[in-house]
Amino acid sequence: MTEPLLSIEDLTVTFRTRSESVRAVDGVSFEVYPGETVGVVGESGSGKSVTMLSMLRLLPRTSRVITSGRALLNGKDMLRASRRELRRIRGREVALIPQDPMTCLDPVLRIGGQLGEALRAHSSVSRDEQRKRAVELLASVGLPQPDRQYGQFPHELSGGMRQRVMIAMGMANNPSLLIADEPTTALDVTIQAQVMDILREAQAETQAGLVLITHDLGLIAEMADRVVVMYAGHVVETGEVNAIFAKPRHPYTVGLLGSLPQTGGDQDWLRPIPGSPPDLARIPTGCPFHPRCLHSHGREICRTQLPQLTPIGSDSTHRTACHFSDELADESIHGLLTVAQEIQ
Amino acid sequence: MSGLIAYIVRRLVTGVITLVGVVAVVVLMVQALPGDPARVIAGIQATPQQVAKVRHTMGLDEPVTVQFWRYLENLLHGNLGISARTGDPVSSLIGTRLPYTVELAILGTVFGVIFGIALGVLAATHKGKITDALASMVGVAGVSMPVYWLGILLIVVFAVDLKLVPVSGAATLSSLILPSVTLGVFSMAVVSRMTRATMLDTLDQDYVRTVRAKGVAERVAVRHALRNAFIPILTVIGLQFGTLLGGAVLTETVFSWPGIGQLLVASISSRDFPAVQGIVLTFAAMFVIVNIITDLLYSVVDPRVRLY
Amino acid sequence: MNQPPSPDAMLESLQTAAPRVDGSPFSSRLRTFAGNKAALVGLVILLIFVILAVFAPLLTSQDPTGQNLAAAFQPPSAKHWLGTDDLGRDILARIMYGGRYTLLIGLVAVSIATIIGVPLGLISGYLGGVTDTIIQRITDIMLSFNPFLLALMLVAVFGAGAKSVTIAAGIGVIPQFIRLARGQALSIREEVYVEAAVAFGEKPMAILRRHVMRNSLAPIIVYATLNIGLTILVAAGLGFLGLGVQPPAPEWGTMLGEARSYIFHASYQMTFPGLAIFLAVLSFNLLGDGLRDAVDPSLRD
Ligand SMILES: Nc1ncnc2c1ncn2[C@@H]1O[C@H](COP(=O)(O)OP(=O)(O)OP(=O)(O)O)[C@@H](O)[C@H]1O
Ligand code: SF4
Ligand SMILES: [Mg+2]
Repeated sequence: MTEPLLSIEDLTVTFRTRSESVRAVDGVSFEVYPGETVGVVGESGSGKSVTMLSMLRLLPRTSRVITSGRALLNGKDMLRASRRELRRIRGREVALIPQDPMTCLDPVLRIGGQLGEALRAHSSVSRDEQRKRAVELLASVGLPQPDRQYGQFPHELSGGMRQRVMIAMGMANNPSLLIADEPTTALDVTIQAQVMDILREAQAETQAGLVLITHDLGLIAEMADRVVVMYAGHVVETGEVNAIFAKPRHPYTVGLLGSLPQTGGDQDWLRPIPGSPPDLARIPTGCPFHPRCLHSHGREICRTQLPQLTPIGSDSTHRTACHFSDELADESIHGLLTVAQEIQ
Repeated sequence: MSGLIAYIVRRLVTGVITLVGVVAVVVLMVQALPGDPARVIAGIQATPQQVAKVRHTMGLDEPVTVQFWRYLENLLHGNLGISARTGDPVSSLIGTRLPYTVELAILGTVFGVIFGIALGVLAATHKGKITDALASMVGVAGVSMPVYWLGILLIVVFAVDLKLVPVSGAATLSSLILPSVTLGVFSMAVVSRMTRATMLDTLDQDYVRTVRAKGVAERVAVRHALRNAFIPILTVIGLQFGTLLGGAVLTETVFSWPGIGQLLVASISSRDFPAVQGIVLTFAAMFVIVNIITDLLYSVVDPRVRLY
Repeated sequence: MNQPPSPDAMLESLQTAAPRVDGSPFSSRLRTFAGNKAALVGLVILLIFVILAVFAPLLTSQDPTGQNLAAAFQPPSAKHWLGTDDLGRDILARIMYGGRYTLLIGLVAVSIATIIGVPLGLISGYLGGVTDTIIQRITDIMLSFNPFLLALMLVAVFGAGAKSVTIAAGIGVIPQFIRLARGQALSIREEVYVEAAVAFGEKPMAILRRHVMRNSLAPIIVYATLNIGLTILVAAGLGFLGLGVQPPAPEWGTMLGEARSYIFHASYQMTFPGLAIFLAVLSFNLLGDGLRDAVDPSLRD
């Protein structure tokens, strides 16, 4: 088996504020292999962004953060990397395509300058060379007039164009790992599809691993090889995308899938999972999902003991963290859960 | 571009309106003198003839509105009246001394801005550390410092005790150092406080994270944050320029600096109101001009700012 | 969109620097304030000055104004802790008594500025329209002088002395209070409870008094505290030029002005009055910063 590109092991991230501490990520582990796409899903606030940003050591500097665990990128622990090592790794081995293209480009600098900066960071190129490469990159992500966009300011571009610029910037140094944090949420549907195509092409070209963070399960089904489902800072289920979509074994995943818009049926709306995610400063004891879980039926162990991520049967890649995941093997229960969710 | 010119014209017009208001204030100022303004200006020993002459040449015997229009009209011809103390035209008195004040104001601002920004950046990038605490102390001490006291202290230490620079005057280049520093300390404090506050915000912006994600040195990220912090910094630079001019009056007095601030104090002491009027007007004009300039600089610093 | 605010809006918000008041209870604000060491230091310095000024006759037997040329220019000693000045007066005693001028001038001047500036600003912001334009143009004119020049002009016209210096320093900072109160009124005008009051047919003046005034109180107190420091600086600056409180009164700025002639052989004579001014202004600034943080946690870092 090949070595993983990225291996996150027991990552825990806690923010300390004046009065309380917020555990945004708790004991998260997963791997990404070269060339594969791993989808990370979960409700807003489940810790998806914080997981990846803490690996990149890009959490806001003004917050007090306590991080533990390991995040091995090509064998190197990012959490313990020196400033110099970080500088060498960022942009070259791993690139971030951030969540909101509106706020992620420096508003007072031209696109060309910002791209040039990415190029210059890892190789010494002549001014002309740099311009040529930058325009090529802009063309490769499908910008209509790369020469013109090179000299424009971010506010002169549309959201879709900015997101393409972000992708071009991420690809500037052919990184082996791309992290795309909801690359399409800010865009409208037709642009979304175009941007995803470009991302896919870029990935195919360089054989980079891709971590795709999203709320959009449809996108996961289309793009991802494997899925990591997060809830309240925990990984609650992970496995091959087919296995998860066909045979989810965690009540939260079942709920997420149940909340997908049903196409073809008479119902075409989104049924969110009832209740809301816990306050991360006061995560419930036991299973973090138990206050909302429709499968717990008030069983005590759910309230007292944190379920560990354990493999399901012989399939060692499909793992879930639920005391009663066995019961979910019976798929008639899924239907019941979905119905229950609908009634609530 | 024509939009920009329209904006400049509009700013100039509001500036001129403000200055017309200032003219009204300085004309009223003389009217408000207790007792007979002509008597006050001519001095206690003046003969009735002299008082009458002052009254007539300054137009004090006419209604105040007429005086106001006359002052404006004369102003358009560069005529600010005649100094009651020296008999020279006020405009030439100001003309010979203004360059010194401008020089001092520019040097004080440059000192304040450079060190203020440096201090603010240091504090923001070392938030919570000892550097930050020290910078904050310098900041609050700087805004609490009486410039006149600071000036004397610097004279005692650097000119009297260490004999590094001249005690006063504007004769040599080194005589510029102490007055500029004295005058610039307040600006430095204000600018550093604003820089720190804004940088704390911009350093955590998404676009700075993007810069860091590229794998550049931290100072590159700081540069991006600073560029984006520049609009509020520019604004305080413009606003504190008024305070700086007030400080210039005191600084010039302490260092016997031959600018219009010192002239103002001398003119007030000798009740030379035509000179006082002219100098006050000059100070107000400097403030208005500097603020127009900072407004125009916004669009240089930030491409999103449309001034029109 | 992350459009930057327009320069005008920036200017506005900076000039008013209106702290937002959050809903946290008084006790939590008190804790924030008490947790701010700098603010506590400011409070202690201020209390010391107040005690020295109020109880000066009990704390020192020295006469702050009586001359004794035989004892002139004595450096600090056991008898005269801070030395004596050119006329043989005990500098410590003069500083203690002088605090009365400084503290009173600061307090009264800011009260004047508040009483005149705040209603004008509230009316300007709440009513808008022509009233607003006129008041703002006048404010612009006053701002183009800056507090010190404005005060200097006023004493030039009305003469020196404690009373006119106090009034002059107060008038000098009026425009700042107009701007602050206007910003407050502009934001509070949009609040639901004010809209409700309008809907119930309350008169503008009643609304201003009842709702707008009360809700802008906290930021105005913060701003007033910070401006006491500024007015002290202005008043002492006038004293330094010989245009403030007149000798032999031991006002600190005036003392500093007198000491200026002797910096070559008696530099301690100018050291202590200046230090007193500095510390007094510092105490109000530290206090004001602390109050601001307590009132508006979002401004804290
Ligand atoms: N700088 C910070 N200080 C304190 N808490 C933070 C900070 N950043 C994130 N958090 C907390 O961490 C939690 C996880 O945030 P994160 O951004 O990872 O969520 P997410 O899964 O990416 O959500 P979304 O889908 O909305 O992007 C949030 O509840 C948030 O409150
Ligand atoms: S452990 Fe209990 S509460 Fe948690 S998901 Fe499983 S059934 Fe629900
Ligand atoms: Mg996120």
